[in-house]
Amino acid sequence: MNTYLLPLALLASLALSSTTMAASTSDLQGTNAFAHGTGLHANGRAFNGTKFNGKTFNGFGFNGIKWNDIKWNGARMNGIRFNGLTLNGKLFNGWSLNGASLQGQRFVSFFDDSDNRMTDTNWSSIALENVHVRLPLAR
Amino acid sequence: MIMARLRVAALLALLLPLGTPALALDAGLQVDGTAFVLNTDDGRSLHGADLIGAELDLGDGSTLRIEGVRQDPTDPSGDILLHRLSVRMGDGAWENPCEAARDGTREAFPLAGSWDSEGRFHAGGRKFAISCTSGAQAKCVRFGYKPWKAAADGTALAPLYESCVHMVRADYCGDGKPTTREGTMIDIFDRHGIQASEAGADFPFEAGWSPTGAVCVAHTRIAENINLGKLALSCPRLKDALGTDCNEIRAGALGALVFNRSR
Repeated sequence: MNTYLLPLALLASLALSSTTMAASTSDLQGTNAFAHGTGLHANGRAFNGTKFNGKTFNGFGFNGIKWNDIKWNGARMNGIRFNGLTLNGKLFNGWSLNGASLQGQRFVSFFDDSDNRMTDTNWSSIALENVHVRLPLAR
Repeated sequence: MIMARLRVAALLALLLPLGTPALALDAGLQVDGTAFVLNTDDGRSLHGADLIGAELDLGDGSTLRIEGVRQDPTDPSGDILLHRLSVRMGDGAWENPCEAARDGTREAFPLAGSWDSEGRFHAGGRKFAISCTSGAQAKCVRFGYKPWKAAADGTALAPLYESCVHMVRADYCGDGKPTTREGTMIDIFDRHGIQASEAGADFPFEAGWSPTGAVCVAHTRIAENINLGKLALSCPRLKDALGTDCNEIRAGALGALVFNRSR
C-alpha cells in the first residue's frame, strides 16, 4: 500500500474497531466465578475458542502481556491486571461483570504467574501483513 | 479517488503536530531475531532502535508504540533487543503492557513465528509474537534458546525453544495448560551447551521436555496444582512415563531436548 492510503486505512480501522467493541458474547452471561484447572474455565465451561467481542480467546496466553482493550460483556477490562494482585485464594474486588458486582467473589485458583496468566493471545500470532506502521515525521 | 486520498492524507498531516507519528507504512515489516525491521518505500531499512517512536497497529484493534530499544545486558552475544513498549488504552492514554519480570524489566520483543491454540510453535511464516520479559517465551529466548539460531553443535534451536516454553510453564501435556506458580525456581539444562545444571541434590529431576511437552515426569512442580495421579488422568500419553523411573537418561532416550530439576 502506498503511504498516502494509510490515513484512510487508519480511519477505517478505527471504525471497524468501534464496531467490534460494540459486540459482545453471550457465552459468559451469568458467569460470576472462575476456576483454573485444565485451562481457564467459567462455570465449568472452557474459555477456549470463546469470542470476546469478536476476538477469539485461545486458552492461556503466555507472553506476559496484560489484558487490555478487551470488553467482557460490556465491562471494559482496560488496565485491569491479572497479575501481582495475587488472585489465588484472595478476594478480587472492584469491577463488575454483566452488571453484577464481583466484589467479594473469590477467585479460588486463578494463578498469578506470568507464565500462566491469560493474556490477549492474539499477540502470540500476529500476521505481519495486518500490521500498519506509523513513523515519526522526523523519520 | 487517488486525489481524494491524497487530500485526506495532506489534511491529516497538517493537523498533526511536529513529532507526531504520521508517515504510515504497512509494507515491508519483518521480524529479524528480536528486532523489527521496516523496509520503507524509499529504499531505507529501519532496524531495531531506528523504529523508536513508531506506532504499530496490530490489526486486532491494538496499537503499540515503541518507546525505547536497547541490547539485553544479560545476553553476551548482543542478539537480543529489549523493547520498551506502550499500548494505547481505550481512553487514549498509553501504558506499558508488560508486567515486571523478576529482574525488574518491563520490556518485550517480537519473535518470528506463532503459537497456536494447541500450544504448538510454528517457526517462520508471516506471523510473529510479542513477548514480555515476564513471559515464558521471552524467558526461554533469554535463557539462550533463540529459535532463529543454531547451537554451537549445529542443532537448530527452535525445537529447544518450544520445549523450553512448555518447561517454564510446567505444561506437561504440551497442550497449553500450564501448572506452574510465580516465583518457582527451576534448574534448566540441555545437551547442546546452552544451559548447564547448576543445582544440587536438593533440586531433584523433574522432567524431560520435547516440543510437544514432557516426555516423562519424575515429580510435578507444584503438587497443589497437579500431582502425578491427576497428570496421568489428564494426559494419558504420559501415564506410563511418570514417577522416579524418569531421569535424564530415560528422558533423553524418549526424545527430551531440555531437562529440568525443581524442588
